[in-house]
Amino acid sequence: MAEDVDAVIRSEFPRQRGNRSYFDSDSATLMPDSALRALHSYYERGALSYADLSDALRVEKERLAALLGIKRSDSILLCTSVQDAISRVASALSKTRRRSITISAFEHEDLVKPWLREMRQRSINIRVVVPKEDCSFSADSFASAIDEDTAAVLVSHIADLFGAKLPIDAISKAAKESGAPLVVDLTRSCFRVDVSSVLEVADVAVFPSHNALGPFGLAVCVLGDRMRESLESLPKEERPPAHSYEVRLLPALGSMNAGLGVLRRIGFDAVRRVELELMKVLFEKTSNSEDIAIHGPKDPNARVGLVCFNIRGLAPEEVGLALEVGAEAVTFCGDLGMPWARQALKGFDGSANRLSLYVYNTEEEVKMVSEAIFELKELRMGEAT
Amino acid sequence: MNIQRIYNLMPGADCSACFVPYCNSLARRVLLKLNEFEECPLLTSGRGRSESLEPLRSAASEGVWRLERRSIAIVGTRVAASLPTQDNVRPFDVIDIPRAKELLEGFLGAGSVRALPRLGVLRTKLEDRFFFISRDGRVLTVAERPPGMSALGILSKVLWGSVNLKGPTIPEHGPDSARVRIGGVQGGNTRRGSCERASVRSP
Repeated sequence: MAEDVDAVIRSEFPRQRGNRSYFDSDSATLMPDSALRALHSYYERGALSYADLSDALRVEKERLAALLGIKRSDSILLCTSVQDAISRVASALSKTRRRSITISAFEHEDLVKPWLREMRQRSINIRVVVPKEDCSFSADSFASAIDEDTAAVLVSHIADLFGAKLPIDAISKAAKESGAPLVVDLTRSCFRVDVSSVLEVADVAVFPSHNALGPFGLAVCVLGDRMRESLESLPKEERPPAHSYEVRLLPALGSMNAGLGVLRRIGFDAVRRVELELMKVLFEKTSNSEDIAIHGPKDPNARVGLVCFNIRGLAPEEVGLALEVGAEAVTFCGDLGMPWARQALKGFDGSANRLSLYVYNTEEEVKMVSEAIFELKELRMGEAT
Repeated sequence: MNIQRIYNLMPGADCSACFVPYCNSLARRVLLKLNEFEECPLLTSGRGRSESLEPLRSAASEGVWRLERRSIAIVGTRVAASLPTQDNVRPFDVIDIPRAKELLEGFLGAGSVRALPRLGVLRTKLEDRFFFISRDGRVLTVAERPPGMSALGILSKVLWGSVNLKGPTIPEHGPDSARVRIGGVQGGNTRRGSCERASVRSP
């Protein structure tokens, strides 16, 4: 049973930490007090023996497995970053004879780079699945891009430009039929929606700690049964991180678990409810203006509280600076790192502003930033930058 | 006062005979009382666009009052340089956006600057390049910039005319060359610097 959201937010995210409103949770979530205390208490314990560390690691992994709703804690691999995790999986899978990978047009380049590096010596074919006019994907478009030559299917659970979920179940079905492993990036979703259903169908699912109310420097890679068995059968030097490597990430893991514990206390239903309320406030002010291009669906019910937009005639960096100075709001602005989206969407050059509305944001903050966005179009000088 | 009006009366030869690289540089420097129109041999010999210096002096006098208020066009903070125009300005002051708009419009003409004082931001266009200035002194220019130059460096140089972004960039003279000395505040784009730059151009 989830606790009173306001009470948890008040106790875990005290307002006195700063005057700025934080709208960049998709880059890194704020850390709750529990996560900070866990990090602090780890270092307060003093010197630990290797045996102590091993025990603590086992306990924390079991705790994480319980928080994520997965049965086996040995399905969890700890890495230093999402790219590190993907690199290790790609390294293991690149020995396959299959020569193509399938991605959606909204994938971040970091998800694909490790595969390109591993398969540099061979000719690799990237199949990019392009969205429909409304930026959504049909299950058929993925099915037609996956076949016996597909070495892996790489998709994000939620694409930040699009702000909505991809059809993971349909993609998983198509991947399973052709025997291709499904790799899902949970970076944008692990702190917003319950990902347990994705963890059930994905062969590999990764997310960074800093997007799960934890500190930087840790990424969690959850392996499906099939993938775990195939990785275990690899020669020792090709296997994913060893135990001694994972032990170093223990403090970050303990802290992230504390953060995820807070998220469980709040409950994903409450997160969704707050998101919807905040999106309504934002869209009420901004979605009717032709000068403000909001990417993805404009219906809050069809998306998550992750809103990418451009103000016509202004560079995203200018808008980002203005929101910081004028509305005391920390937002993301700049290149989204989606080279394929640039090709798939006409009139989108790859850079945008991104507002991430999350459970610790308030209606007043969103009103202030919405008004600033609406006002900013007055700075245009009749032509695009 | 509009710098364009004054520049239209200048010879426009960009000959550097006055030891300032461009005619618009000289016009801006005269307005800031760093140079005199008499330093231009073309103007004094009547080979400018107007036969005498009077129209220029008259146009310049219209706007001089703006510059005598010890105020600034743009002041940079958190960046390596600043652009004060008079003595009593500290280099890291917070920008007064309405005042900056007024001053910039004085230089560039009405309608050339858009400002949102409530948000503390200002946007202007100089030589096909947009500059975005915030009240905390940050200057942002998104377009491609010459290597090694900060946005504020470009802004100051464009304002002073020592770099013509449309034409070839004049070579840098050390790391401080983006700085501007006016009223003895910062060093860099001094008369000597201008003279050196002028020497690389053929008159």
